[in-house]
Parts: sequence; structure tokens; C-alpha cells
Amino acid sequence: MSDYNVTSPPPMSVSSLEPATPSSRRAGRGVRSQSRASATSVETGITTGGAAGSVADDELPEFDDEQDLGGDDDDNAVLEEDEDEGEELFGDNMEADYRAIPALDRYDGEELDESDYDAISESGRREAERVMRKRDQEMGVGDMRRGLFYDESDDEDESRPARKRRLAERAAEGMEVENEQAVESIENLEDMQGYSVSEWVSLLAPRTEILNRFKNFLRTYTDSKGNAIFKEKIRHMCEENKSSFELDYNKLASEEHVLAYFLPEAPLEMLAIFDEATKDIVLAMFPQYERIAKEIHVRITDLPLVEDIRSLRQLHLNQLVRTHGVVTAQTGVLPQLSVVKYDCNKCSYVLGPFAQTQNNEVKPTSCPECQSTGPFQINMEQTVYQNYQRVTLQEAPGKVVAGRLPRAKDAILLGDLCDMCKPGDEIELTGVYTNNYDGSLNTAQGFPVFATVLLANHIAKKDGDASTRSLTDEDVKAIMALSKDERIAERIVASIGPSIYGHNDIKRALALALFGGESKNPGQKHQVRGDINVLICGDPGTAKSQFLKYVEKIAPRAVFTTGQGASAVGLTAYVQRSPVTREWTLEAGALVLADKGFCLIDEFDKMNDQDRTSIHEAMEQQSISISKAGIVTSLQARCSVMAAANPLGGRYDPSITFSENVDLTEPILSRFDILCVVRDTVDAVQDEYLARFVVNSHIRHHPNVTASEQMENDPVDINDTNLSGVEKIPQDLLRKYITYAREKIHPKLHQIDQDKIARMYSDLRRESMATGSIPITVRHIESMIRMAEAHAKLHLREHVIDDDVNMAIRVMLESFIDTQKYSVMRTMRKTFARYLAYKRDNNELLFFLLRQLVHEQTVYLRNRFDSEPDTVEILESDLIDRARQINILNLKPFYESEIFQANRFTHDPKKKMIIQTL
Amino acid sequence: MKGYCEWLTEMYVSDLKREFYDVILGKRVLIFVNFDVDAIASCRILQYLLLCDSISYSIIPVQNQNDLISAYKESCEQSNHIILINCGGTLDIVEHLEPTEEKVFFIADSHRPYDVCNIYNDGQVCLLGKSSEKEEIPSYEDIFGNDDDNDESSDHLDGEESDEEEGDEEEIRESKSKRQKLDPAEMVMRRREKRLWHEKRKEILFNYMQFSFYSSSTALLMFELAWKLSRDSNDLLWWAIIGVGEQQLLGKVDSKTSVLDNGKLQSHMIRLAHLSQHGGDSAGTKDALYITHEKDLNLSMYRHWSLLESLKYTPQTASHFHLWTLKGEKKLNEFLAELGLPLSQCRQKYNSMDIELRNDLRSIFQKKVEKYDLEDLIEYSFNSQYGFRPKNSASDFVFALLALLDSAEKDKDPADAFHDALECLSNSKMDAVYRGIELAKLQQIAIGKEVHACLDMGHVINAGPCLYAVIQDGTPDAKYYGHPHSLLMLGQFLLKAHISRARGRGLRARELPLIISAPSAIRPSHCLLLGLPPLSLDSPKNLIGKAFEQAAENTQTEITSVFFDSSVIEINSEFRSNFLDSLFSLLE
Repeated sequence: MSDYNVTSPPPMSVSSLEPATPSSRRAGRGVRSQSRASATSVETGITTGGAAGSVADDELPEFDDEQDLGGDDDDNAVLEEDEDEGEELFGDNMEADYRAIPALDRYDGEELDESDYDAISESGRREAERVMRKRDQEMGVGDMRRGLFYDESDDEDESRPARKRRLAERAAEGMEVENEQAVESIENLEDMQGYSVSEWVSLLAPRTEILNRFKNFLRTYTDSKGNAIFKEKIRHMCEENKSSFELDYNKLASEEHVLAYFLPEAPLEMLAIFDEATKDIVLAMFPQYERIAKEIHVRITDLPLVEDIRSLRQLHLNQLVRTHGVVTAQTGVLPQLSVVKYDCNKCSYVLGPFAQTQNNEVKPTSCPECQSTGPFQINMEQTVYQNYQRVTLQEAPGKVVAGRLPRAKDAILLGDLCDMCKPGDEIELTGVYTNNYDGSLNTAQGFPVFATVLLANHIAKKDGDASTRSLTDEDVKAIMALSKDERIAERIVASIGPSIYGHNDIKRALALALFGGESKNPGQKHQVRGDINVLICGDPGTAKSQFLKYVEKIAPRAVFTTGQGASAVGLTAYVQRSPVTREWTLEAGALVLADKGFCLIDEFDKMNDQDRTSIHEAMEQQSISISKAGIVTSLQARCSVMAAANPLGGRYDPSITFSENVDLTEPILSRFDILCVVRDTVDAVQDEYLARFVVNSHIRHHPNVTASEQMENDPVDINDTNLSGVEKIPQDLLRKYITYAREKIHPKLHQIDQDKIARMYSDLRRESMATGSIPITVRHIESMIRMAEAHAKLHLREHVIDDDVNMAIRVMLESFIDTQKYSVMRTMRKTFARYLAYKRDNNELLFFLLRQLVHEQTVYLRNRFDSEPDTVEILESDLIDRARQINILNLKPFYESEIFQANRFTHDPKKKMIIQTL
Repeated sequence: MKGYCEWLTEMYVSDLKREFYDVILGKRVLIFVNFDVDAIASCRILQYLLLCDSISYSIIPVQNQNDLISAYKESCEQSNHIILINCGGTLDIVEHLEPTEEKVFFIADSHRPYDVCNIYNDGQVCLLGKSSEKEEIPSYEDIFGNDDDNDESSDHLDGEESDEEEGDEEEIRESKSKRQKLDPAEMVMRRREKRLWHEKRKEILFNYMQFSFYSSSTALLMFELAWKLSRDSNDLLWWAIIGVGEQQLLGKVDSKTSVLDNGKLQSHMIRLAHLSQHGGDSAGTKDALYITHEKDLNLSMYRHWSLLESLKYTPQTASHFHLWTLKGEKKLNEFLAELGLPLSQCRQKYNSMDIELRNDLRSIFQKKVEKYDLEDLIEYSFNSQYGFRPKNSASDFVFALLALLDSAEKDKDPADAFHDALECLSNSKMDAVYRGIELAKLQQIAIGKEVHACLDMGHVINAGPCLYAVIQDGTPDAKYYGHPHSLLMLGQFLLKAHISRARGRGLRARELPLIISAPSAIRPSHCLLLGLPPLSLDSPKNLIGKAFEQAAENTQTEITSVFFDSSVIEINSEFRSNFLDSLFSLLE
């Protein structure tokens, strides 16, 4: 027996070879199974070896009494087996270990002490015990070690080398070893020793271990390129003076899976530890950061546990979940008690501080100074508050299963999360799903139920326009490079609505409106509008709505409504009684929401008159005045209105004027800077191209089309105008370009040709009096200036130059002439020909004239012979005559031009004819 | 003749009280003052002294040489005693102004080098102050001949001479009568000698006149006069500090001079503080001006601005962090985070900042300047406080005065601007100073933006022997830097920023001077040209002035106005490109 004590270490060394306790336990069990045969020897020998047994007990606490006394051979065998296949003891044939083996299932005769002992006397036994104890002490085991073991658990004993190594590593990194490390670290954190996660995490030792591990993780984590990304992130955070540190859950999970496992289970405790750890690191990098932000919060992003609001259950209580929805209501930001101090009313002693938890109020019971039990008053000055906001998160309308009502959940935002989102935003919220006791619910239900609430940890907004708001240096460079292009104006016009064929005048108008003019405020007295309003009016099926939809996508800020769906108050603003606070509140309408952006109104003519008049003020004064329900205010509505309307009776009748064609009043018409008339004319060649374009577009944009196929189908650049060869700008860049121009470029009117504008205006006015189409008012001078400014902005110019004015005049005139009766239009075109010809390709002009001639000829032929001709022949001299009117004399280049041939025209010099085969 | 010469070398009036102040005592004086802060400060001190002694005076601000001449013509009748402050020293007064015999000029000018004819003349021109070794004034013998024999020069040499040295023409004429006595051989020898002497003289003169630079401040000189008259006070000292402050702010003097000047000012400050403490009425001191000399942040007007803006528009920090880029701004934010200054506080006006932050602002910065290699961010500066009003540093005043001086426009007379600036220097007119500071902020912002634009657009061009930058006509904020001082600030900022961006080969730019040109704010279709010495040189000695002169001669360009600082000129914009070409070839 005495031998045993010396040789007893083997089983222990076995367990120390194992990395973690459970496996050592397994090993222990293995030992037990192996040494089952010898177990009875202990039982029988217990009378003699009682003291020895207790010693063994102390040394090997995980072993039960019964298992110990195997022979030396047995122990060695166990040792060997454990070393070989220690892991497989729990394998498939585990039961096989317990099968009856008669050869082995007997007590070892040699080891079995079968001799009988006399009953030992009391004193004799004491003496024997004393001797044994003395021997033990000499050998350094027993009581001495008992004291040692009392301090350290086995786990700690095992982990000591590892811990030392880590300490050395940290020392090598130059980090000071903190005092907390005096508490031993725990290697197998996942062993919770029977505690629940949150309890385990709140214990001091695991808590410290988590803190250290997380700090270590933050310090050492590198991405695939070897950059210490968290350091970089912290630096960025500090640059912006923020106090939120975003941590990707997946990164945490890949490196520290134990922490990642604990985090969703005990989020409040874990986050508190993380916050503390992060703050330590921040302070190590920026020692003075405490002056900037008192607390640092770790925000968990990309949590894989995504739940719909609908599917939140009791299971999720007190867990970290991620959910998404739309913010529907929001309270103001209120101060919440965070660390409270109380005044004792009796002795005016200041009690506290008490840190408040989320769901119950901590109150002192008695004053330590005068022992009175209150009442206590909150000390207003020394109490620390934090921002508190409650929002209601509702399931996104698109995500609700058909036939169900959307569900909502309240969320609490604290600290810097307040005002991260506003009603209407679609957000993703990561937070702790928790419950709070609500007495009223209790009475309503008759039994205790809890109201649940989400304690937000992280909020991500789901809109992409944040990216356009902040332009990087590279973006600015790209924009500058783009602006150097000489044909930038044409490229931009061509890039507007790339999936829409033709309609270059509308594209140009929209481009100008997108860039917008400069608003002025003479003497700070009243605002002069800088935005350009556009009205597109035309036949059905001419892509009007498509244009508006396109603008909605490209514009920095746009609100889309339709005439039918919009009421007067819906467009401007309405007063509503807030369901939460029971107060009258002002809710912004479409025009107000579109402030500094675009308000797009489709089906403008379908709107009823009263509603339409409500936007008069918004369109010119750019404000909306409200005086309802005791609220008298004026809201800003600096938006440009783009409207699309159908003519009366469905189709535009060119024989009558614009104002007769549409059901819009004069005041509103004059408020539009540009009126675009789109007519759906029949033109065999054009129609064919249009058809081809549309078909191609459908082929190209099929969702399953691969890139290579797209390339194949791409070169279908058929266009009848001079925009055909223009390289289009990527939409992303275009959006940035627009944003940049609108924000940074403020062109000044400087040495512009005032006479030209004055002359133009008087001419236009005279014509408009004569024809009685749309009225020309002073507004149109302003329009022209705005358009000139917009054109300058489009080139990123700080000065309006002659080019810009000419282009503005051209657009103005085109818009004006389009609105005239067909009969007047032609004469008018002639009068203003020289303005209209500006920046137009000669070929384009000639082509325009030629098409007119062809058209006349076909009409003539049709009427004459009552049949569609296959070829149309036109006298060359006719074209020459017309060309002379616009000062074009040489037609040779035109006959050779692409546009001429592409439209299947041929020139026959001998017959002096131009022939078009249809 | 020897005695005459010795008398001549004493044209420096070092005993200001006896030789200058006692002379003008009781007489009417005419004061011409240049347009710079130093001059205004000295003028203010002098004004105070004259008021004390009931001496009648008139002050006439002059901006450039032409101004001086025409103003003199207009008002020379008024008085026989004329004081020129920071002007005229570099001109040959006698030749340019053609004064009558009874006029006496006292010149207190910090521009160097003095014209030799002002140094050596017959008592009509007195230079206030002491001559210093540094100036290396050629000896009288070397340039005006040392004995009678040399006077017998031949006719053609005579003609040459008369161009350059009006002063000794009379001597030559006198000596003509003696000439007949000498024999021909001797005359040849003499002539040869004479020619050698002339070459040497030219060389000496060239070396002397080549660099333009500044000596220590005139305001300090005036203050010392007041001190000798026992009329010195804190107010006067403050004005002197401002005068010295301008020189340092605009980098006009080298570090040695400024250290010496600061030392002098500091000792005066301590003496006066001591006096007022022991001198009696403690009630008066609360209201009075209180001057301190302490370590302070070297940021432009940060006490009147927000810290962030001040950092953004201070040349040192802006070029150190490259604040014209997004990256630079981030770096600055990081710097502030490390200092522990919340951005929200930095964006506030300094006055509204957290009092705790404000109190340790300097020590906060002090801890980190070394890490960020920004040692020059903290320097000693003079601060003043009137009673319980907020503290102002001397540089705040200088900025305000400069902005006011440069506020002249087409419809605003330069003289008005001058009087605005002069008004700042009286202790009850703090409003005027604040107005000036507001203006200075606008000016600094405009300058900062222009530097940004110039760097972005690559407007700083390396022309080989020098860098040059032309600010085009019609630039929106051009009115803010169409004046000599503000253009100088723009130039310094631009040079610093440009160099800070340079890498590798571009570093050679450190050794190049910068020529900068901007449209003049006062005269349309004219432009200012300004030359800055290379950044690598420590001393602010500038040879561009001479080069301008030469280039103008070579291209026959008419310089419409030459400022007293010869490195700034104004020419018609049409001639600019031509002029610059010639200048570059000259600098090769």
C-alpha cells in the first residue's frame, strides 16, 4: 500500500496531458472501467488503508474512492492506453468495455489481501495514523499539498504553462500586465461548471477571462492581408469622435468561438464586458479620449441570428437577435437616469451613485449618515443622464405575408443610437430581446404576461444614398476628369434614361433640371427659385412615366407621387393628432419631403383642380404655409417639380394650342420652366429602329443574361441623332457627378449677353400675344437664367458663358414652339431658326428638314393614290431651298453622312433626287 | 576732407533724444508713414510723444515711392522737419525729393539696405537708429573716393558717376579747376586707377544693394525713444510689441533679430509691470492694460475663431496635415482625438469652449507636439488684457491691422484704410480691433481656399530657376489678396503648402524662390508681383527686388508702383507674361 502513494501520480499525469477537463474525466471513467476488477480490493482493504485512501482522495479529487487502487501494472496499462487513444474511450464500443469478461472479472489473487486483521485498538490506530502522516509530510504530500490544492482548482493547475506563455507574449508586445491578471485565467471557458451562461459570465474569474480574451482578440486580429483592422477601426472612430465601435460577429466567431457563443446567450453581460475592454484599448491608443466620449459601445453587426418581428418568441427572450423593419413612430429624445444620486431630505447627505439598470429602479433603503429610511430626492445636478428614445419598429410592408397585418415591436435606443433613424426608414436592428413588467397588461389579461421590447445595440439603415452623400477624393478626381470632356453635355444628355429611345429634348430638359439653377435671396428678403420645373405632356406610350421613374432613381433626393394618389394635403403638409402624445403634429407631404430634391408627379392632369392649386405656392415661392389647428408655420419646399400629363382626350392634337390640349390652368403652366410635348408620330424608319431598340433592350436586360451575352448584344447603337456615337456615363458616376455639381458648383452670372436675352424675351412675348398659346411671362426670363446656370453647372463652370445662354434660349424656344399650333409652329421655326440651330449638328438639321419633306410627300402620295408608297422621291432642289433658309449651302457632307444612309436615303446626283426606300 | 568724411559717417542718429527729439521739439513736423503695421505702431508711439509735448504734426500715409514723392510735393510747404517712418530709407531722398536747403529729414526705416547717399550726406538726412555690423555698409572711401586726387576723373567717367551719385557731383565740379596742372602720363595712370576703382566700387555697391531685407522694428526704436523721454507706458509697449509682432508674423526678420527684440521687449515689460505694482494706485491697474509674455499656441487668431478653423487656416498646421485633402482632415481629427479635444468643442467659438479645455489648451498641445513633429506650434508670445476683457495675443492685433490696411478697394480710399488701422491702436477702440479680426478671418479663409485651389489645379509651376504662381483675374475672392501684405501671406502659405507636398525630386523646390502674382484690388487691370525667398534659406534676405528692377529695365516695362519693400511691385497685367519671361531668364 505504501508503494501506491508514490506511484499514484500516473493517472493524474494522464489527465494533465489532456487539454481539457471533460476529456480527463472521460479518461478517468476509462480508468474506472479498466480497473473495475480491482475495485473491490479497495473496499475490502478499506479498514487497513483508510488513511491512505483519504490521501489518494485529496490528490485525485475527480476519482471516486472505489476506483483507485489498481496495481502498478494496471496503471501503466491505463497510461499507455490513454496516451494512445484517449479520445476514443467514448467511441462506438463503449458498452463493450462493460461486457462481462470472466477472465478479467475477478479479483487479482496476488493483490487481494485475504489475510485477516485483528481489530486494531483505538490508540494503536492513532499511532499508525500518526506515523503515516509523518511519512507523508516528509514526502511532500498530504496536508501540505492539501493547502496548496485548496487554492487552485485542477483547471488552473493545468493552464498555468499556457498562462505563463500568454503573459510572456503580452509582455513581449509591450503591454503592461494588468493587475486583474492576478486572478487566474481560465483555459476552458466553455465549461460553465453548472452555471447558466449569464451567471457564469458574471462571475469574477470568467468575466476577467472574457475581458482579456476580447482585448487580445481586438489587439491581434488581422485580416487576410495582415492589417490590424480593429486598430484601424478604432482610429477611424476616434477621428470622428464617435463612441460606437462596430464589430463583425463573424470575425469574432472565427477567432473566439467561445465568446461568440456566449454573446447571444448573455448579451447584456457580455456587451458590458466588451464595452469595458474596448474602452481600455481606446484609452491605450488615445489616452485623452475620455474627455471626448465617456463610454465606448461595441455594436455587433452581421449577427447571423436573423429573426422576423413576427417570429420572436419566448425562446428569444434575453438573447441577442437581429431583426428588420420600418420605423413607424419615434418619441423625442429624453434624458434617462443612468447613474443616480439621491439627496437625503433629513441630513442632506448625498447618497449614491447608483447605476440604474434597464428595467428596475435602484433606490436606497436607508441613509448611511442618519439612518433615516427616506424619502430621498433625486439630486438633479450630480445625476448622470443618458439619451433615451423609443421607436416603433414595424414589419416592412413588402415582407408581410399576404393577408396578415404587420406586427410592430418597440425598441429602445440609448446614447448615440438616438436619432440614428427617423420614421419611414427601413432599418436592421440588432438588439437584446427583453421583457419588462407592465402592470396594465396584467390586469387586462388577468394573469401575468410581459411586454417585450428590443434593447437596440446596433442599427443599420438600409438605403444606399448615404454613399452618394460623401464623395471621396477619388470620386472628385473622376468627376473632374469627366468634366474635362468637351462633349460632356452631350454625354450627360445621352446617359439620361439610357433605356429610353430618342426623346433627346426631354432628356436635355431633365438633365438641366437635375443640375438646377442657383437660388438667390436678394437682401435676405425672399427667395428666388433656382429649381427648374418640367412638364412633360404627350401621347400615351411615350415613356413619360419611365422618365420620371428614372429621375427618381438618379436624383439625390426624389419623391414620386401620382396625380390620382395625391391629395392637396398629401402633397403639401397635413396636421394630425399624434397617436402617442395626443398632440397636434405636422406631417410633411411629398413636396416638403422632397425639399432640396425633386418632386415627381405622374398623371398630373388626373389630379383634381383644388389639389393642384395647392402646389402653386410651392412651385414658385418654394415654401408651404400652414395655418391649421393652431399651428401656423411655413415649411421649406425647395424642390423642382417634374410632372407628366396626358393631353385632353388622350392624344395631343397638333392643330390646337397647348393650353387647349391640356386641362391645366394658366397660373400653373407659367410656373413650369420647360414644357415638353411628346407626340407619337408615325414614321416607318423611326418606328422600325424603335422597335429594334426595345427588343434589344429586352434581350439585354433579361435577368438571366450573362455578361458575355450582354456584350454580344451590346453594339446596337442605333440612333438617329448626333448623340449616337456618344459614350454613356455609368449611372453611378453620373449620380455622383450630379451630387457634386449641385453641391459644389455655384455659377455666377458674369458678363452675359443681356441684350440677347432681352431681345429674345420681347420677341417671344410678341409671338405669344399673336398666337395665344401659352402665355409668356417674366417667369420665362428667370427660367432662361436658371437654365443657363444649370448648363454651366453641367460643365462644372463657375461662370455662365455665352454657350450656356444660347443653350438656354434654344431649350426655351423649343419648349415654346412645341406648344404652338401646327400651323404657327412652322413659321415660328423659321423666325427663330438661328437660335434653334445652336449646337445642332448641320446634318441633324438637314435630316430634320428632309424628314419634313418626306412626310409631306408621303401624305401627298397617300392622298393622291390612296396607297402606301415603297419609295419616296424628293427633289434635291426642295431640300436645297430649305437648307438655304438656315444658312446651309453645302449639302455634300450630308449625303455622305451616316445619319443619311442609316435612314435609307440615297442621293441620285443625276436625277437630282433623294430617294428613301421604306 | 578727412574730417568731413568722419562727420559724414555719423549720419546715424543714435542719441535719439538729443539729436532727434530735441531738434523737433516745439516745431511743426510732417510725418510720412508707410502702409505697414510696424510703421503704424511707431507712428502711434510718436504721435503720443508729440501730443505730450504739444508738437503740431500732420501724418501722411504713403504706399509706394510715387506716393511719397507726390505727397511731399504737395505738403512740403508745411514744415521743415520731416519724419519718414518705414519709408524712404532705400531711396536717395535728396535726389528724388529735391528738397530745399532748410528741410531736414529724419528717417526711421526698417527696410534695408539704406541707400548709400542717405548714409553719407551733409546733414540734411538723418537716419534714426544705430548701424549694425550685419548691413556691411561700404566705407565712404570705397564709394565716394578717398582723397582729392581721385576727384580728377575724366569726363566720361564723370558722366557715369553723376548718374549714380548725385551727392559728390559738386566736389567733382570743384576739382575741375585743379585739373589743368597735371601732366599727361600721370593722367593716364590716374585714369587707370580711377577705372579700377570704379569697377571695384560697382562691385561693392552691387553686393551691398543685392539683397533687400529688414532690420529690427521701427516701433521698438520709437519705444526706446519714449523710454528715454521717460514717457513709456504699457500702452506704448504694447504698440511696440505689435510692430515687432508684424515683422515676425510676416517673416520679415531672421530668428536672431526677433529673439533679441523679444528679449528687449520682455525686459521692458517686466520693468513696467514692476513699476505699476509698486508705483501705487492698485485701482487703476484693474482697468489698465496688462501684458504677459508666455508660451502660447501659434495658431492664427484662435482666440477669436473656432479651434478647428484656426488649425485649418494656419499655414503651419495646414501644410503639415495637408488639410486641403480629405485624408489630411482625417489626420487632423486623429490628432485632436489624441489630444482629447472633442470635435464639437473644436467647432465652437473659442470663447464658448469648455473652460477646462481652454485653460489647459496649451499643455494639452504641448504633450503631443513632439510626436506629431509640430514643435513650432507652441511659441512664446505677448498677450494683453484690458481689465477683465478677454485676452488678445499680439498676433491677433497684427492680423486685424493687416486686414484693415488691406481692406482698400476701388471705392475705398487707401488712406481710409490706414486711418481705420491707426484707430485700432488706442485702447478704447476694441470694437475696431474686433472688426479687423473679423475681416482678417475672411481674408485667411480666402487665402486658405486659394491655396487649396492653386494646389488642386497645379497652379504652382516650376519655371526652372524659380516657382511661380499666377492668380487669374476674376477669381472671386481676389479682393482679399490684391494687396501687398495679404499677397505675402498667401505666397508664404502657398510656398509652405507646396513644399510640404513635394517628394523626391520635387524637394528641390525648397531651394527655389516663389514669384506670385495676383490682380491688384485697387487698380483694375494691374497686377501685383511679389517675390519670396526660398524656404531653405533661414534668413529672409530677398534678391527678387533687384531682379524685378533689372527685368523691368530689360523689357522696358513700366512699373506703375514700387513699394518700399522692393520685392513687391505693381505692373499692368498686359505686360505680365513678358515681364515674367525676362525675369526667369534673368534668374537662370
